[in-house]
Amino acid sequence: MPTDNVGAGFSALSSAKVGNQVILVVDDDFVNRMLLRKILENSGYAVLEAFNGKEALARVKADKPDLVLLDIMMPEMDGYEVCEYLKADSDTESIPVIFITALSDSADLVKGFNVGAEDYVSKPINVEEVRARVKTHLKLKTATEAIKRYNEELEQVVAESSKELIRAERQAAVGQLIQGIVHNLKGPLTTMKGGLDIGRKILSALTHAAEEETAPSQGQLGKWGRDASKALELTATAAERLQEMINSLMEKGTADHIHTLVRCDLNEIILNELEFLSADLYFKHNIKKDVDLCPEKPVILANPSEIAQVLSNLLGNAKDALTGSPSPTISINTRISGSDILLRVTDNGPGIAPQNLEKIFEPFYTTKARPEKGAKNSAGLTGTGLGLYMCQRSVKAMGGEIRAESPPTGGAAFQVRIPLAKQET
Amino acid sequence: MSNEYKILLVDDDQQILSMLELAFSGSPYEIRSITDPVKAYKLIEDEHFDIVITDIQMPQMDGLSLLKKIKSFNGMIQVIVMTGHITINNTLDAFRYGAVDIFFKPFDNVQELVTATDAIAARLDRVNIILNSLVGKEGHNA
Ligand SMILES: Nc1ncnc2c1ncn2[C@@H]1O[C@H](COP(=O)(O)OP(=O)(O)OP(=O)(O)O)[C@@H](O)[C@H]1O
Ligand SMILES: [Mg+2]
Repeated sequence: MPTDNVGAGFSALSSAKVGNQVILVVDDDFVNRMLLRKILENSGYAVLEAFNGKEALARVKADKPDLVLLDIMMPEMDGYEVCEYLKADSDTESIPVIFITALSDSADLVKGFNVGAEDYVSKPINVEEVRARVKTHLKLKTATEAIKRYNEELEQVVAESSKELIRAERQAAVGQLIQGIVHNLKGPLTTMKGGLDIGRKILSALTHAAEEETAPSQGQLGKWGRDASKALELTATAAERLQEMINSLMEKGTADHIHTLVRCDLNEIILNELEFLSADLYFKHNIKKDVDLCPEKPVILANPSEIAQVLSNLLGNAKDALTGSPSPTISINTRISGSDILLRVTDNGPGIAPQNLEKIFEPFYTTKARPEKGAKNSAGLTGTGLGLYMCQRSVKAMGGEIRAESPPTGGAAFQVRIPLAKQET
Repeated sequence: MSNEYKILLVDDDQQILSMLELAFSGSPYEIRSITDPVKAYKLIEDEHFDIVITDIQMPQMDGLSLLKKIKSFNGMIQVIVMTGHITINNTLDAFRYGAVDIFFKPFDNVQELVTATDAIAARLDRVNIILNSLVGKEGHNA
């Protein structure tokens, strides 16, 4: 058991047993291979052998050793070439390579490091040197892997808790939105009820006329008929509009649970999202929207609710940035560029300082007050700082990229590039 | 009612305007309707209107600002406000700024709005009669 741990907390390091570790020895010289095997096995490692470059590559691929001890001078494919192959392949690049070399020329050593070798041991072979180098590089590799795993776990944890926060935040936002949604529903409801009132009035006039046994004039009857049919038509159209609004709300509500990728029209999602956001009365009435969508149908392979979430974050940020702006305007445009669709969301707010263009994508970076404190920043805004972080994750998951610009002309611009879906066959 | 009053309906929802026009279709008024409050105000400056019925939440200018502008342009113009967003503040402000009545959307019965308008028209009749006798001139009938 090695007693020297690299940093506490990485349990993987302290439990690393040399017995688990496999070393591939590549040398065309049988005697060298035997010698190295003895040295390494005595130290508790498992040893594999290869006698030329080709065989070495095959063994690495098949057995994934933890380290490769590689002779430079071999017929056909020399050690440099083998090393180059290993370092060029993402599957094998992290395996440390130690050259065994009789060459003492520094130019050769440099060449070795240039092709990506981690270290070298000199020939004739010195037992202690081999043991020390191998041990160091295995430890380094274990440490690197542990850190990588730790980072991945951390990222997972951050992603999970971000999702939680975003869910919570969305629920709070829904509370605010409900007022707006209800207001929007009142429009068609007013028309529907009004249409019914008018219909009822005509009906009661008709009933009245029948009771009085005085026949209404042809002209009067005609007007009642026309008015009644108009009232019915208005009621029907308003009911349809109400139905549509409710449907899009339902979609919004349920789409969160679907995680499959489907072919969807980005332009359509943009228009839906704008419709949804107009439940926010400030967004609807005070901000000018310049919408310029490409005439082609930009079909992408994505989760529509995730795209909608990206849009809602970008538009929400733009709206926030425009607080107190004299003539708040948001431009949204889409344009096909090669095999990608480019979406740009631009606002004429204060923009973003150049040194912050990268930072804003970091989780929890925000210039707004944290919502749970109930406090607000000077502009009365709250945020968790997860909006753009999640946007970037979603866009990356779709094989795209997102980037922020603050053009010298002012305002902020966000550009999202997403690959178009392949034509359906 | 001797006067054929001119009424302007203002709401950003075109369907509601159509419904209101229909509700007023049996009344003796000359009805105009418009979805844009800014244009509505221009129209009021250019043409004479006796009664304005306006929504409160609209783009560009909200109905309460429109109300204030109308009342300071011509205090004689009678303004009825409609709102889907019922708050005490909205209601008090509307009356404070000189609205004659307020209706909440959706209406209990749209006929109530017509009846209220008729009552306002009747009052305008009386006001006009009194004004005319004071000025000592015959007419000003539209
Ligand atoms: N359009 C914009 N103009 C100016 N600054 C912006 C814009 N969009 C984002 N920012 C800056 O980037 C920061 C991070 O944005 P992000 O969306 O990640 O978080 P947030 O909006 O603060 O909070 P939330 O989690 O609620 O979205 C914002 O606080 C703001 O300072
Ligand atoms: Mg945000």
